[in-house]
Amino acid sequence: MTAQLIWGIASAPALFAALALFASLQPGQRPLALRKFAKLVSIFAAILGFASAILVFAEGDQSVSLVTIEPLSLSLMLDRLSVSLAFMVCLVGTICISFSCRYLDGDQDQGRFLGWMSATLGSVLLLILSGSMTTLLIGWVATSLALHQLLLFYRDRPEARRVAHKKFVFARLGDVALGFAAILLIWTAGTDDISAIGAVAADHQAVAALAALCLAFAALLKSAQFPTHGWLLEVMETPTPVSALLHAGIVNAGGFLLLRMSDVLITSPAVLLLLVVVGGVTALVGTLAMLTQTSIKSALAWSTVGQMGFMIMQCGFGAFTAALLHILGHSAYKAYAFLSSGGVIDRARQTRFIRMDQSSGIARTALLLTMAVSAGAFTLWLAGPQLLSKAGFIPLVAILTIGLGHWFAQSSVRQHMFLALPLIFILSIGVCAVYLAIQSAGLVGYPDLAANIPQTGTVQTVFEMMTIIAFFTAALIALHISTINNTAVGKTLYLGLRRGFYIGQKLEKWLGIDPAHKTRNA
Amino acid sequence: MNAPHSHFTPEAIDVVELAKTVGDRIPPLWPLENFVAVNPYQGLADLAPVEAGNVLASAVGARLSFDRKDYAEMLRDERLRHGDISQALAEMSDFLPNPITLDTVLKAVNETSIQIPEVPTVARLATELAGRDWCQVTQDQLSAWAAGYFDVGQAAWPSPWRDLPLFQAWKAETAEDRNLDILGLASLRRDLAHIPTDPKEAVEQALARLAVPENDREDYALSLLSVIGGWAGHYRYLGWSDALAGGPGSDMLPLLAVCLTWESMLLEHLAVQGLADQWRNRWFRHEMQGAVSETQTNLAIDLVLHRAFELSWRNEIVERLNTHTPPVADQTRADVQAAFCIDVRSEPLRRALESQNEKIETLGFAGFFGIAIDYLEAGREKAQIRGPVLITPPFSVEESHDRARLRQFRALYRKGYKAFAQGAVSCFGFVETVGPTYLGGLLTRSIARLRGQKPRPGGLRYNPSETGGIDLKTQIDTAEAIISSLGLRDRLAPIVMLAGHGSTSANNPYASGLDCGACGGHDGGVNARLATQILNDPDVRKGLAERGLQVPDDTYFLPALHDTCRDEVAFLDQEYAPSTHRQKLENLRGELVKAGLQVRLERSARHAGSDEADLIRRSQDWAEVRPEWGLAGCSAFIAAPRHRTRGLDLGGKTFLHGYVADQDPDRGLLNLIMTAPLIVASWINLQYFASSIDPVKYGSGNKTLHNVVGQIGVLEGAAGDLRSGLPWQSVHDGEALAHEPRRLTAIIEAPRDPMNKVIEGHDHLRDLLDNGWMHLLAMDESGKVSHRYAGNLQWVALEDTALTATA
Repeated sequence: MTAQLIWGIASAPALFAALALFASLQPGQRPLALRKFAKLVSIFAAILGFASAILVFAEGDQSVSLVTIEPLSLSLMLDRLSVSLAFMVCLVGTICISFSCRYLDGDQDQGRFLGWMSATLGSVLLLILSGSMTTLLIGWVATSLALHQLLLFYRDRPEARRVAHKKFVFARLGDVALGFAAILLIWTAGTDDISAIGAVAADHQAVAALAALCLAFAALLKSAQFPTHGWLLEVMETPTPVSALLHAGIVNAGGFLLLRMSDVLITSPAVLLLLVVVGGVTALVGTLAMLTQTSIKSALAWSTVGQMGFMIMQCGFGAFTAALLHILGHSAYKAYAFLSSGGVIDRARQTRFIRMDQSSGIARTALLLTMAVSAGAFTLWLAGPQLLSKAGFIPLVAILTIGLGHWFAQSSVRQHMFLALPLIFILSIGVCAVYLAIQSAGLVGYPDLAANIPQTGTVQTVFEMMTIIAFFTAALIALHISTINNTAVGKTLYLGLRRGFYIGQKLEKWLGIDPAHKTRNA
Repeated sequence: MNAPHSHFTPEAIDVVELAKTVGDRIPPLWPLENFVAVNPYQGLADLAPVEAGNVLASAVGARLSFDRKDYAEMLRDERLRHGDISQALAEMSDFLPNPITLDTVLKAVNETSIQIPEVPTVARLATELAGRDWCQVTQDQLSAWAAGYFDVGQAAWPSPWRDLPLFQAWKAETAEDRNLDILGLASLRRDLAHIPTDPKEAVEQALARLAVPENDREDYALSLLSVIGGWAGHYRYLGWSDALAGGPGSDMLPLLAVCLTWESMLLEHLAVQGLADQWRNRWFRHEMQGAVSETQTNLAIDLVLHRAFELSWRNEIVERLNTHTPPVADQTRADVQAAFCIDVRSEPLRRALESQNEKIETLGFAGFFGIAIDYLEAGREKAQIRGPVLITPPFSVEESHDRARLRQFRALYRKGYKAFAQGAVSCFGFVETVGPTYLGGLLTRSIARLRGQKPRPGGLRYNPSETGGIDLKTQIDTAEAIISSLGLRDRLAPIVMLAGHGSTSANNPYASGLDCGACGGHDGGVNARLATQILNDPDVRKGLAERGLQVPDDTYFLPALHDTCRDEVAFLDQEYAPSTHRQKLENLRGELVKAGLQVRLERSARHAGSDEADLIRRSQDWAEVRPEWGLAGCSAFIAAPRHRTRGLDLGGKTFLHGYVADQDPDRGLLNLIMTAPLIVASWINLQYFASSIDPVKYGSGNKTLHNVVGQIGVLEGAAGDLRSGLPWQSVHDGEALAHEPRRLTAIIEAPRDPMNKVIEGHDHLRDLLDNGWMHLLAMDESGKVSHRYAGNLQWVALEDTALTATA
């Protein structure tokens, strides 16, 4: 039974590839057989994913070797990390496919769409399940190439072509970085087996550090980190399910790469700090820019940029399990948010019943913030020293509590302060407790990743403190928007955020993808 | 800063007048929250067909006909006959720039149509000269600003300039926008400081710099506004609704100032070789081209072909009406009289309901039942208009307050939750604590397809109070008007059902477009409830009796709501139903269920691969892009007694208004029908017409790319103009148009002289009819469609030959 299951999940990428091939027989309008088949296959894959996740958690890691030509090989690795993500991808994929069957009904090329969606899903699964650098590289490039076809689904739209081209350029830069890292690692370790590479990485500090830098670079490009985030904001020239799949399944690939290669990554504290800085800046820019967006999909896209930044920052702190949980939670949330984005008018109608005052006094803000933070500290203290000693957890809990405080200050807690304050304190403790429970479960559930979490050093502590201050500042900015809007600096900040500080545009101009250079009806 | 050109004299240009003329040409665009149909050609109604076609082609870049090859194909399939073309030529002879023969048309149909040149703009010229799309840049730049300025709730961090007057806001924001530097327009940005803050002066200055020939100024201004036509429409809507609410409204001057200033500054600051030199030549060339009569003839042929396409269908329906033998009218008292909205979606249900039981009579009436109200939902801050958007509601009605606190609490909870999910810092913790629970949402909405819960309505408070309400006399007037308009003064049945309509769909930004347009893009439940509560009121009935209108004691007015997506009819206010009617209501309920099933079977044929149960699924599937066809197909408006059409399958494409000329001696009802429901029907029809014949300019594009902007409307993709009109999926099923664009054919059974009087007294109606935006036919007292309105208050007998040719 075990063996069959392993082969079952191992064949999932092939299953989707077969589906893609079948789609090429029915590429056009209303491909009825393909629709049925696509739903069945994807549901089957999701069930396989679930079963294999249970298997791996119960019985331990499994691996499947397909072809070996020393030192290269095609092999899959089923460990807790890969099966968790594979399950999530299968699930989101199933939902996107079933959504698209309806959503694109009547489209001239629905078959082609379902085909490329299957191809993309198959490639992502191959990437996630890969057990060797070669497999990883193949999955990495294939994902991007299949996605490219989805981005170009309406190829007569000039905007779609322009944006796909932009994404293509960044993706190839990422490929080169990953390829270079792979060559370095295979050459040093003498094998392309990922676990074997991880085991020897610590013995080759210098090469490993260089490889880590390349890996980080590839991950930053893949996960749309500032300042290479521009493409993610514009890829809306293709049907909504592509956005859902992209934001919930594919953009995570950068984070996945860092987690998969965490053995290599931790050999270089400098690279980790680089991730903290880039991720942290991206998180703050993304989340503040999200507030200024006027269209629902742009707001969701900026939110993804911010969330990916936060996740990369978690990787930088070495909080690998937290990053994995972040990926999982974000996938579910963002897939839902995109697919249901047509309901924004209905939801707005339902909340138009009351007006909420945005501004709030400094004193009250400070009070509420302090309270939330102290609730967090209290919970952390209750949770015990085990969590406190883990790198990255102090800033993470601090950011959670700053968020809570900000939320309370923003919500209309105005009357009944005596009643509200204790309630808020209890609510804060509740949320923090849930958070810490989930994080503890992550530490227990993913021992391999947890083992790589480094101990906190002095330099790192400085960065942690700076991060907390930065997020605190962001909260203050977000709380005083109406005041800020009245100042000259505030106006510049607003426009800068709305336009992503123009850095995307400048970079594109520099790379020769000039935003103004588009020809109508070309 | 250059001095204005020497030949410039400020007195020469009345820019306020220019802004008004051009502003009137822009159709208002309602927000998605209450999306009501608007005639996109509303501002062109005063133009004759060729003239309108010219303006549309040169200034808006829009068209009024298919490609020539489509007509050629129709001729081959005999969907279009030579007789239709001859008939169209005869009908349109007054409008043609020079005489055209059938042979000319038949020869031209195989050639490609000559493109009418678009009005030159600096952006267009620069695009041509530089190979860089300055039209797109202009649209993106101005639209991005407009989205921030008009946003009503998407951005938590709103634009700092949104409280400034429009032109000032644009100037201030653009002066800060470093995106211009990247576009190579840094000098433009700096120079903005020298532009006057007053929009009037800015327009004068820009026009002087651009030196556009005086005759072309209107077309030029319209062309510039059309680049951001969606946002211009939204701005026009804001002015429109402000004026309806008694405010001063607004004119197009500030937005025109934005567009003109941008153009004049492009001319000055774009580093494009030869731009300034070519600019003036271009106007000279444009004027030369415009005068070519060949282009005009060419356009006229397109319009004739399309009219022929319309006539082929019109002849068919006239033929069907003239050969239809109505069932013998039953003189005994009916069991049920069911009044539905004139909406085309009522027609199949009326037919199906009548087929259940001979003692059921159905009637057609405007879906707001004659009571337009400002309706304040409990807990809400702002009232909504539940009535046609053409009139200011005379009454205010409040929902009773017992649910207000609960609703506010829910809204507070939702807002708080949203603040947690989308807060600047809390969003990170949100994803890690609450994020995984969205798996549940993904699965349930994919599998179970849960139905959206509509809030259960509370009681209606319409009796006079400080906040408005309706006094008893007005209530009696209203009641009398409703009963008279329905033609039921002396023959009320025990149950008189007034059914409003609404539609259920999930995850659909255009949901309100499927609701009742006569109720301002809401469902008609509130209006039906209000009307029936008044009609059932003993005091009102006493008042009616005093006026000689005796409502039988056993008559119960039943409010109901027709869900047009599911074809289910729900009875409202059931707690008020008299116990004596319980059995009768149960019978009616059973008949409605059967009728609904029959309609769904019929409607499912219009959806590819659909069946009856599939239509129910469509109403709750979050991935559905075609929950129902809405009013697609609407082509005719018939005002006549129901027995003229009873038993005739009109396919859900006809507005049916009840009208008995004999019972309307002072022609008050005729006047009402022709000036209100008929115009609304024509607006809806023209909205569908425009969105299907010109989906690029007047449609909102592909639903799968829709991106809701500012909680107002949609973008197609990441950027561009606010889109107006209907989505492509609402008029096309992927294989063929679900709405074949035909201008409305109205058929009214009434003497022609009184109709002439109505037309004469109502300019907009006369424009629509005289310029061919809709067509009017008269039905004589024997039920034969006998004459057509030929414009200018003239009627022409329909030739039998033309009819038999297509029979």
